[in-house]
Amino acid sequence: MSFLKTIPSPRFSSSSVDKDDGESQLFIRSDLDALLTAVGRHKDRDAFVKIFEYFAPRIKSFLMKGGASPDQAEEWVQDTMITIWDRAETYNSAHSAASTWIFTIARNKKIDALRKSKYHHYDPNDIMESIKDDEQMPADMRVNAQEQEAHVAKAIAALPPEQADLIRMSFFDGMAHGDIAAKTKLPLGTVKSRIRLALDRLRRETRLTQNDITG
Amino acid sequence: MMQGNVYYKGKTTEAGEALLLDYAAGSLNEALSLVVSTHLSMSASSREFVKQCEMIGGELLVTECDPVHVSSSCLNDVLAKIDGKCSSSPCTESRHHHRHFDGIYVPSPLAELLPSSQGQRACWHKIIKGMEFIDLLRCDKSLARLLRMAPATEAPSHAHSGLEVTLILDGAFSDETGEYHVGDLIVEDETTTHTPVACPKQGCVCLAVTTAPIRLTGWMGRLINPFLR
Repeated sequence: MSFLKTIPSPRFSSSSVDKDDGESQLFIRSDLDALLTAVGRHKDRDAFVKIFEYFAPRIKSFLMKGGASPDQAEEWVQDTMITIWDRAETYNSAHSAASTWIFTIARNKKIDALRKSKYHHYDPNDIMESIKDDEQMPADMRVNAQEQEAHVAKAIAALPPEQADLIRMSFFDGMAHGDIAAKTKLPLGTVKSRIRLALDRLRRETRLTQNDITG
Repeated sequence: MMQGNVYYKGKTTEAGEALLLDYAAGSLNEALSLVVSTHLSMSASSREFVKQCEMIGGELLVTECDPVHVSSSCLNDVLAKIDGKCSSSPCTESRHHHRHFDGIYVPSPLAELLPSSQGQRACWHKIIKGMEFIDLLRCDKSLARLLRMAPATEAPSHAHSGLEVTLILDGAFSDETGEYHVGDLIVEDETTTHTPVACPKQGCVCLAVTTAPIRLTGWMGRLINPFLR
């Protein structure tokens, strides 16, 4: 259990990610994936406690950044963790990293709790078939979720601060890009182009990964 | 082209993907989340993009959310609750399936809001000859409506005060910038003006969300402006 507490927390501001550091993170991240898989497959209570110890303080932090009070946040952390327990059997480590999957559950809790209006989600089990078939990528084109995550991590760490800040506002403050422009008093065009630059950079990273695998 | 793409127009080349990012971050309003989630039911490439955005979210959760102390009673309460659950917990039943509405194939996020799913008959309202609408919801200043255009109908030329996000559900339309097909999401903003024309063979049905009233730019538009809002 103790290894979870030693995971380094690189910040956006660090200009480069040390290679060894990146690899040790990859190793530990895959442990998180294995723990979540164990919760899903075997209702493994010990694994769940480890997931709780690692993620609950971060989810609380995430909800507080979104505007929740500490007490509210803790209540919603409970709800989020129970949802994680209930839905863990739908988690597939080949499709996504544990952090990605848990983020979506925490985000949905935040939407339900902090936003008054309804939010529509698409249902992955209910997509148009004709299009579903097109989606099937050949196996050798598929990028391992963990490797892709490592590349996204590197790309995020390398973002210039003014781009990273906007991505942060989007994810933490729940602000659409129009709201961000209003708050920062930046012209909307500037906000949009910075977000585009950030997304381009992240996409380039992902493409590089795919070329590495296939090529 | 069947796949459904996000198209960018005018100076808004980043508008479509920025919208997908906002969806992944959870920052859209109800009307925009409706059109984006319905598009995602139809577009594999956009789903892939959203997944990458969610990966960013997961990354931020791990690296940027400095752990905040959680009281010991929190874990105990959670464990007590999960221990009290029976082992077979209800989880992934999909209750809503896409289905047909007035002959159109409709994915689930939208299907839930359509009149017939609420026990009413579809009631299209006429805007101009060959063009009809059904209002689905309003929130903040946003409006989500279905639009149906008969083959070769030309929509009134208009500009936008906010975003106009259009998802094609059936048929196709073209405007000054190109031709768009089923599943495509077209994002317009205050910098663009366009005159969509429905496909001469199939016509067009789309879900359109505006975040502010559109401004009609033709002489005929000004006459029918009251019907659009």
